[in-house]
Amino acid sequence: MFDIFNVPANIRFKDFDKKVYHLDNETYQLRYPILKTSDIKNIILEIKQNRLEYLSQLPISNVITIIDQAITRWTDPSYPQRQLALKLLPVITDYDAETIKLEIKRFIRLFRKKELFRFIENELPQSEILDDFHPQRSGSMVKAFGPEATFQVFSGNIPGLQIWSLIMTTLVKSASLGKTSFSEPLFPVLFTQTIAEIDPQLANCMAIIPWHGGTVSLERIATENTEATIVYGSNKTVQSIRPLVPMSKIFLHYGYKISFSMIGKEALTADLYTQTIKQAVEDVAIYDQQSCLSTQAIFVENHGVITPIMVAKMIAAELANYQTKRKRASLTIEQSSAINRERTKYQLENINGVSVQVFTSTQNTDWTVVYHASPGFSSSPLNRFVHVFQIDHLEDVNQYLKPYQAYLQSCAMAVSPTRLFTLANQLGEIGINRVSALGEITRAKPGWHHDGHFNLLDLLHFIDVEPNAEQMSEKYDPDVE
Amino acid sequence: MLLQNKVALITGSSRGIGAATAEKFAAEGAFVIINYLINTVAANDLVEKIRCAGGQAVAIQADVCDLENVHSMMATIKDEFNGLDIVVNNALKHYSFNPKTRKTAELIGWSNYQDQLDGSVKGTFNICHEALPLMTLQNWGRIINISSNLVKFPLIPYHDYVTAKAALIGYTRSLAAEVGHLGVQVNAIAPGLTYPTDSSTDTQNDVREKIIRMTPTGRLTIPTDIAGTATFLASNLANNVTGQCICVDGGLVMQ
Amino acid sequence: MVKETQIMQQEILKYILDHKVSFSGDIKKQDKLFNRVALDLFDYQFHNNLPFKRYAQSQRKTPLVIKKWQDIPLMPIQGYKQLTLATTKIYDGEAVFLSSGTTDPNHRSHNYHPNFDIWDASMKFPFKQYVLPDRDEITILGLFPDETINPNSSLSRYVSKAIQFFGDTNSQTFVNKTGIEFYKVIKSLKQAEKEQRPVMLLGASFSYVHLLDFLKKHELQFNLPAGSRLFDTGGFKGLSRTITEQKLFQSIKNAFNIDRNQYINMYGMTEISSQCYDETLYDVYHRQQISYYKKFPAWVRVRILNPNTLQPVPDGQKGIVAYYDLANWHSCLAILTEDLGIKHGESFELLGRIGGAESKGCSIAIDQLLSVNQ
Repeated sequence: MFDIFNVPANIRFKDFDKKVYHLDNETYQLRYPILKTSDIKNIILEIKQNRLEYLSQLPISNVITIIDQAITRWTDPSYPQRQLALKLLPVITDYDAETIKLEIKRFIRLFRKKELFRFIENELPQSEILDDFHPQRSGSMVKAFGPEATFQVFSGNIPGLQIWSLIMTTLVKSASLGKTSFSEPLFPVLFTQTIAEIDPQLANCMAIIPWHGGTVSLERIATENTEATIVYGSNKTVQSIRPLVPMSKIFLHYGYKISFSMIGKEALTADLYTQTIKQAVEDVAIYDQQSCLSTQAIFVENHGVITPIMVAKMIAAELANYQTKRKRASLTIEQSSAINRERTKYQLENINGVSVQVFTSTQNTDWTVVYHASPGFSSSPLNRFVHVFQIDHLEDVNQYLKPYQAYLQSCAMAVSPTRLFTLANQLGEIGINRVSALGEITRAKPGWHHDGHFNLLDLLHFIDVEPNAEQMSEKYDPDVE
Repeated sequence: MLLQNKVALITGSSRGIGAATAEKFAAEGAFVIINYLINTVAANDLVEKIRCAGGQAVAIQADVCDLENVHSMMATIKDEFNGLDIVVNNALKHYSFNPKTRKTAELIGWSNYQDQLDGSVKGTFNICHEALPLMTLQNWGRIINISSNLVKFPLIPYHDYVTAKAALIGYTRSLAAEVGHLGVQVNAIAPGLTYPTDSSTDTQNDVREKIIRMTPTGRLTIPTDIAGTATFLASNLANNVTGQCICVDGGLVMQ
Repeated sequence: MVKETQIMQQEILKYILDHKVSFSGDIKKQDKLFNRVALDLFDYQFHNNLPFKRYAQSQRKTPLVIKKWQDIPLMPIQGYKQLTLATTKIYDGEAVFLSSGTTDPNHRSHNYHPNFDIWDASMKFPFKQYVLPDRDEITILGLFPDETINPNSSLSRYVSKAIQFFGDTNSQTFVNKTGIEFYKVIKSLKQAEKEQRPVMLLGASFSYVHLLDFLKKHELQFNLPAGSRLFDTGGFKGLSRTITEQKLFQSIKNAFNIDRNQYINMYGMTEISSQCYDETLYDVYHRQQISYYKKFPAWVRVRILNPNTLQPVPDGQKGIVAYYDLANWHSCLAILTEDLGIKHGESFELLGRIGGAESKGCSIAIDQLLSVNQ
């Protein structure tokens, strides 16, 4: 029996429900409270009060140190919470256990002390303005304030990703109410437990609880009683929460996104191509494309030693290898059918003389590569289904990306230095907000402007004390001469 | 069945090792393409024999040394089967394994070498070159080249033949190294003296007996022995085996 | 030997006429015969329809290698939208059924019918067996447009034929271009009620939603005589309002005095040429244990496949419906539907359409993108 919620010590629940999972003849019961609107209200009151008494006065350097200590615990392979996470997450999410292990290890290191400084310095002139008034170039004295409490709606697609948001809100000294998804309710609970081990008072400013998304009564209370709401997930989720947030309050959302890759001919020489293919496949296979950072389509440039069609075939073969190494998660009927439907569509196009070719795993939906002999763009039904578009010059991509502009996010690139910034500039024009190396697309770096926005600034408000106020106050100093 | 619904092309399979392999593949559920050069009657008889046994086969004439011939054979295969899973490069230029009449190092000319290189390596190259695009479409393919144990143990130095069969092993390994990424495995079989076949009928009894005395299993190799190893290499039993050469010679050569 | 078009049709027609009543006679012998006709038909379709041939080839399933009907390549519904599937040259004015195209308005399924000999035979016998086991004719009140209004709808033709073959003189359809003529329906229902003459309402699921709404609004109720029945096709799932099954049967009972056991649902679609029915009425009439599952005619087979592997799932498990229909001689006999079903022995249960897939997070899946852009 394990509780997939973590709330301040004073909060008690009466009724519980549970989810049951089986692993190697062991049964795990994950317990969670059945919530009433009054519960949410009480939790928010409690975390706000705790914040007022503690977090709001805690110097930012202490906040950073506590988070860093928590992260350090998670870098220890024998740390019980980490072991529990690595044991249970594959069962809960059905993702390959080794993928989870590797990716959690990588991900957790994004939040070490030095990286947290990167996050802050990237957006604020100095971290201390979160503690006190500091002079700015303009002459004013400025202090930054975060929301009293932030309601965070987490998605369940990527294990652990929830703590990105949780850490950002803590850095701005906001109390956190995190609503987890039942697809992955575990990691933030374990992480807040770590915080509690180090500093129970800080942990008392956080509450993590799962409930079924779309429970309007709970979500309304949560948005109305907090000062900011952050939503991760599908547009459906975003659209269900947005109307609940009062106009005067902060509403941030990270909704639908599509990412893609570009392979230049210079990465397709006889000596480099095998490595290039491997990297291209990493971007598709890790977390089965469920991350918005994952590649859904790959542009492959002509005139390399290896032709785009060969690249498609080799990506297919590499996906087959990947399946023997790290299995894809099992799918719902809807997901398998979506893959079959898309495969069929292109197979039929091929019969009709359209120059597309479909490479698939045999007798299952494990992986699919659709090769397009003429350039274009298409999104994928996910779960290791990737499009490969042949293109004469990568510089021509914008025209194909344009219709999808609203959804584009990351691009993984394997191109020569002379082209990198030209292409990045061009992609920036149509809204792409991140360029990574091929093979690294699923691993965003500290300080990345998530979906092109700020991590901290968007949560903050500032107070400027103008020089004249200062000067005037000096006058009232009884001791001044 | 090990080769259910696989499409297999066996070159030079109207008789001998090729024919035995074709029969075995068909018995394991493969659709077999009997390629031959001259012997239409034997090829058709084999097709008939396979069909009578409940298998499936067709015969296609093509000179494997002629790229255009090979190209049109592959076009037929693509049209009929929309794919090719297994290739056994078994065809060879006629060679008489007669220790008495073999050409010595002094007498042999380059043209003899050229003939054997053409028969073994060029024929195999032509077939592989045309088969690979079909195999890579499905990310699965098995190529089996027939070499000889004489490469490792030239008991009787048939210079031109041994040189060509040695080149074939180099070709096998090099190709395996490149196309492994594409789901295609390339392996070789090195038979010992296989008897009876048309090529080995000239090998005298005393030579055969001498080989038998040296062979741990105490017998010569027969065509179905080769067919068995070929079936293994063609099937999923040999998953992740590539660039290898398996001697099927009763242990005469051990490595 | 590839059979000629006429011979092929004769072979199928003979099979249908020899097996008018499904699940009767020597089943083993029937299975063997079904297999033979199916393979003949596959051979015929393979050689007379180039797009189908190419599709079969792309699946590496050709008459050379296919020996069992279960191995015949399944044409996805999408094929009827993207390909021209016809084994004879399409002539000017040839009848064609189009799907309503609600899911993908740009592409509608096309199923061509150079003649209706087989279609009609395929419609008639199972209708008798499962819809009217107890009588030869009935007053049919059609709530779906007939073929004069909707010549490209297979369901409209079905409604017209039902009335022609099995309707008495009081039978008619009540749909004009603007919709259901509620007042005429009510008049006919009143008449039947008065004369104590059993009627069969025949319509698509959404027709009933509208009719029931109308009756409720006008506080109308009918006490139809025993033997009356309600025939429905389509599905109430996925309609603008989701109604629980129980509620639906309750409102049918309230509105018409028609019991659950007098309700029959038909499974058919544009892309096929036969229908499957609930065995409920058949069971009631033959005084057997009542089942609400569906049965198929002798010239049809239904398999339920795992959507991941497209291999059959065990009885009782959910999967995709694969439909094998000898009556579909002119296009493809094996169809991969987009419906979910469960096999229960020789019957099957229909669960409705497979929905779109959603990703768990911010990564947008193509199904979602489509719905966003719509």
